[in-house]
Amino acid sequence: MAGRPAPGPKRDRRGRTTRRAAEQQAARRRAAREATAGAGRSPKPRRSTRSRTNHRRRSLVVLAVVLLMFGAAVVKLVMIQTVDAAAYSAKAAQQRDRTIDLPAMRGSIYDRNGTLLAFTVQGRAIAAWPALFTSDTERHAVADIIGKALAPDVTADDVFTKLTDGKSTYVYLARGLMPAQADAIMTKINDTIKPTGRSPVTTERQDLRQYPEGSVLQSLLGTTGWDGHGTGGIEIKFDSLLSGTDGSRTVDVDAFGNAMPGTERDDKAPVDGGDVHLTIDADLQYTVQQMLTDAVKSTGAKGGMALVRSATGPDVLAMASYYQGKTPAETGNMAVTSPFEPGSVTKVVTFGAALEQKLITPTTHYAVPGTIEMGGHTIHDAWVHSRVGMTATGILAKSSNVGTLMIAQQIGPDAFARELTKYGLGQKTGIQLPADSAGVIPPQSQWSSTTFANLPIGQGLSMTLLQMADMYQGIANGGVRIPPTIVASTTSDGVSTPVTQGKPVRELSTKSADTLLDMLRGTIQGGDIMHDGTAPSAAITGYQVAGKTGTAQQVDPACGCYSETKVNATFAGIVPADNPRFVITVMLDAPGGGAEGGEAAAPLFRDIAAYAMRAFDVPPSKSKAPIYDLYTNLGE
Amino acid sequence: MTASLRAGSGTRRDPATHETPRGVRLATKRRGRQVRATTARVSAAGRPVRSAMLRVPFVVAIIAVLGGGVGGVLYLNTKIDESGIRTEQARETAADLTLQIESLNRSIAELGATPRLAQEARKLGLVPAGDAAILVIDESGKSTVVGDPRPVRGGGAQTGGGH
Repeated sequence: MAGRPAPGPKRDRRGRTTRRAAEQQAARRRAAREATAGAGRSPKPRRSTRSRTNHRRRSLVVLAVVLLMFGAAVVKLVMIQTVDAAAYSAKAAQQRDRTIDLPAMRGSIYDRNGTLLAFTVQGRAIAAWPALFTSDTERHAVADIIGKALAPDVTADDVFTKLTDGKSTYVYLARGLMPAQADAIMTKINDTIKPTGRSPVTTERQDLRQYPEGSVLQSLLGTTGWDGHGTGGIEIKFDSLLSGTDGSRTVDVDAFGNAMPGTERDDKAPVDGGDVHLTIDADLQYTVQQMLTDAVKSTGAKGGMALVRSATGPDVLAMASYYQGKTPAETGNMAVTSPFEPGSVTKVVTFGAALEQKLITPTTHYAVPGTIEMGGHTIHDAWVHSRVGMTATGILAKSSNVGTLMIAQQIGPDAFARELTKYGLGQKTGIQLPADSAGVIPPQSQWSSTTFANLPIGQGLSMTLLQMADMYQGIANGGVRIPPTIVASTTSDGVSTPVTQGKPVRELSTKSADTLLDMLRGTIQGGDIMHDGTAPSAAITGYQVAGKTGTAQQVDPACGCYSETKVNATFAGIVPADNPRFVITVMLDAPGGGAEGGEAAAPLFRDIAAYAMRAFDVPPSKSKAPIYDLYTNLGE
Repeated sequence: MTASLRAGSGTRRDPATHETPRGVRLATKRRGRQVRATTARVSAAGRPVRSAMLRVPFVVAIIAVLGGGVGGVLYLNTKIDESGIRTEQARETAADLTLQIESLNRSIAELGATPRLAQEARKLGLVPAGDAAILVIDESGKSTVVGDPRPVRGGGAQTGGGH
């Protein structure tokens, strides 16, 4: 550092350094050095020197520390930005993003004429987070407002209990409100409690399912739960079509959970549910339900059911069930869910088989005794008689068990068992309704000695009202049975798709079916004892009617035997018989006094048929039905 | 830091040897600059103004483009915001109208439902005809009555009526 070498000790001429001179020089040098260092520098030169070396080391240390810190920051940055990036962005998104559900509108259900049977309107539910209230005063205020607005369905005490019992963090205070109603209540609540920040009370969209036809169609349509999904009937069977697909939208929310405008994204539009068009006629359904209810009440039956279907097509136009003291939800759609023993209406199977085998014609004569021995049992007719001469038509029209079993014996059990399977009995009908019952037909391998004495007269087997109607539909349609449908078409995205129909099944030859249909007119015949069928009360003005009564003894659960007093009174009919349009079946469960099919069920059939003929503008029959001779002689 | 270090080292060296030549050099520089500036200004009077004036259209164009751009962006932004608000308002109106339509449809369905119609008909004194007689008119225009015309049960009790 020195500019030039420090002057050495002074030497004398002889080159000797005197001790004194050396000492003086050193002192001078020290003084000079101290003088220069004195201005602006550490007064202690030795320290000053050391501090210069410390500076360097210190800056190195500082550099190292700073670099280390930077390094740490870089490492953390890399961790955040790359390694944990996904997790952090997800966390951020979770705090900021909110996905709003865009509920799809549930589809509607229409009848065959386009009348709305079920549709959805937007509704609101009022819900609350009990913990977000600041005081019980607020809770009381909210409970009072809701209680006052919705009395008497909701009471203030109920609401307050829900807000204070601490069972749930989110409780529904009121449901099934119309949007305007809910908005009015919310305005009142917010005006009263004036929430700072997030309001403890909120509304939620909860659609309301409307059934304008009311209870008349409830067992058929079913209902929907609070989640908007079907819980029965058509609603559950076509739930996926009717529900549609919910959409969604993502928005950013602020600290209070309010959506920030202009942040909507990922918009997935909801796809509204499709519509279902039924084959039901709402007016006919209502009328049938009314008539059935009246008939059940007037006959003192426990309950009953009635069904109208097309004779030439697959359409079911009305199906009603009614039980005294039961709601439609409790009875359900019994015409497809509840098989019963049909009784004599099943005799058409025996007659059909006999016609197919050309064993009988309508006028074939039989000498029918009062009773017949079969399988170790004695079977007798519903009325006491000695040996009488009857025509085949007479046996059917008077519903003679003995005569029918005589014909069945001619057919033989094998052929009879074969014929029985052709009518769709013991099989599901394939109708688009839940819990479609197949009924019970004992297979021939399981027949006991008495089975062949029971089946031809309609005991020992069970069928639903719909299966019974199907059986007669085949007879009305030239022997071709068309599987039933209750849905005409479904519509989704404006495209209508007809439902796939079941394959028609031939149950009889056209000739046998037409002959049997003609013979069935005998049942409705009135007149003297020689010509009186079992159900003249089923006759309607201007139209030929073909039909068959049925009276099946019910099984008494107490003894496991057939009850002597309780019967199923049934009637299956075809109108008009000369040009079939409708098949109508009715069943009354235990009408008072053990009334038979002809007494209890036939008048109900007549009322329904008379209404249907006029409501559907069916032209009257060209001629009156011929009068068949039922007896050839009345015996001794 | 540099200045203080240099000052420190300067004091340690012989100040005279450094101070004199630097001062001379600076003074010379200053003088030179002064001379050059005076000469330029005098000898080339008007030229910078003219050249500056030549650049004006370009600058104005740039400013215009910038201004136009800023203005355009602001305008578009305003428009977008405005249409956003309009959309929001329209959406709200649409939602309100949807609710209104739904509630009206609900009333229509309720009033047009079969049970309601039947109830209204009963109120007016109407009764179902049931198995009534039929008037059949054939092709020749001849009419025949099928069945036995008779008053319907429960009918005839109503007051008023048309004819």
